[in-house]
Amino acid sequence: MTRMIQISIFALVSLGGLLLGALAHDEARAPSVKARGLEGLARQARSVRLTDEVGQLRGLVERDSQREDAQDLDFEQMVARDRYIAERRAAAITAAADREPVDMDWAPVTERQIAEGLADNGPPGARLISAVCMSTLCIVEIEHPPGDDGTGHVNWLSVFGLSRGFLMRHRPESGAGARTVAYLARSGHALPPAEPGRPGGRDKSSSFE
Amino acid sequence: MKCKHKPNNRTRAGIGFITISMLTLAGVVIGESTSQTAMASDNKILPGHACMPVGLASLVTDYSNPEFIRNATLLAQAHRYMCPVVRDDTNGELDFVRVRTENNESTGAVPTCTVWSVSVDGNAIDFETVVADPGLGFRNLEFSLSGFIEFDHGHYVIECSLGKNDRIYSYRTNED
Repeated sequence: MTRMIQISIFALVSLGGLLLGALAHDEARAPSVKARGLEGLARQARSVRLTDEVGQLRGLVERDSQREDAQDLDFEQMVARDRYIAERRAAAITAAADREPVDMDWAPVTERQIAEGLADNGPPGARLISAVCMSTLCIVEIEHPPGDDGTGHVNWLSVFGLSRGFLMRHRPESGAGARTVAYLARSGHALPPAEPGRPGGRDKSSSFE
Repeated sequence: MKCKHKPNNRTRAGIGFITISMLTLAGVVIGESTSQTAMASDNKILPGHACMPVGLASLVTDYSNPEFIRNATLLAQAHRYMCPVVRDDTNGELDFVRVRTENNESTGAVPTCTVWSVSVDGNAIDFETVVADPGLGFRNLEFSLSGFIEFDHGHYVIECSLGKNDRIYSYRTNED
């Protein structure tokens, strides 16, 4: 990483120097209108290209710097960052599920399978609040009994019968126990990412505060 | 009579331009080769011996063979193992996982593995489970990890369940 930063900075400085040299050279010549012609246009194009490259290199250096800064975050900031990623993901899956029609051949059967699986293999005392399936996605909400924070290990495949899932735990609220919300994908289907084309939907440039 | 050629400003500028261009090009080449080296090093193959037995599995797991670990239970009981995934770069994406297993009993559980992605506080979890095809012999469990979430500060772990006499040879992970 350090070597990449050094190389990036070196390249940045080199290209910056080249750009400045080209600009200074261009200004010193005080070219006439006739002399400019195609050569002048080509030089301008080259300057623009070099400026773009310098900008890209500056972006790379800043990104690497941000990565190193991220290692200095305290635990609460890390939790906030990961929570932000998870909530965006949950929102994206919920939105995708809302857009899906209900597959009447699959959804009711799967909802029943989930209810039975939770009763047979779920965490002790867990209560099914809701299970809603569409055509490729299910969203299941479970409430844990008082005193159970829902962090116990569970074989979710045996509970839901679905091999692909995303879970979010929620702390107990007044009058209610801890909850686990499971976002599940039908076999052969993926859970939608939070951002198209980016697994997990991470967005390095966005703020999570 | 010696003819001493003194470079003019234009020649100097040209030499400077060529020098800087070559240095920049060299930097790009070096950077590219360094980058490729780093990518190659992000592929990791670990032996099954890196997997930790869970609960009673610690009493009945055979670690003595360098080729594999084996659930050596006498009771036809499946046991679980947790296999660590080392992250190199906290912003990387886990894009490939393959576990090499062997199913050695025609009855009972077949090798089953789950890749977990866990947030830094453990309150958000992504998972994908792959069950080996039935039948005896080697089974490569490969994960699509399509849309698999990556937490900036969390961790990955692979959980495997082995039936009686089933084996884990190795597992391979790749993080961008």
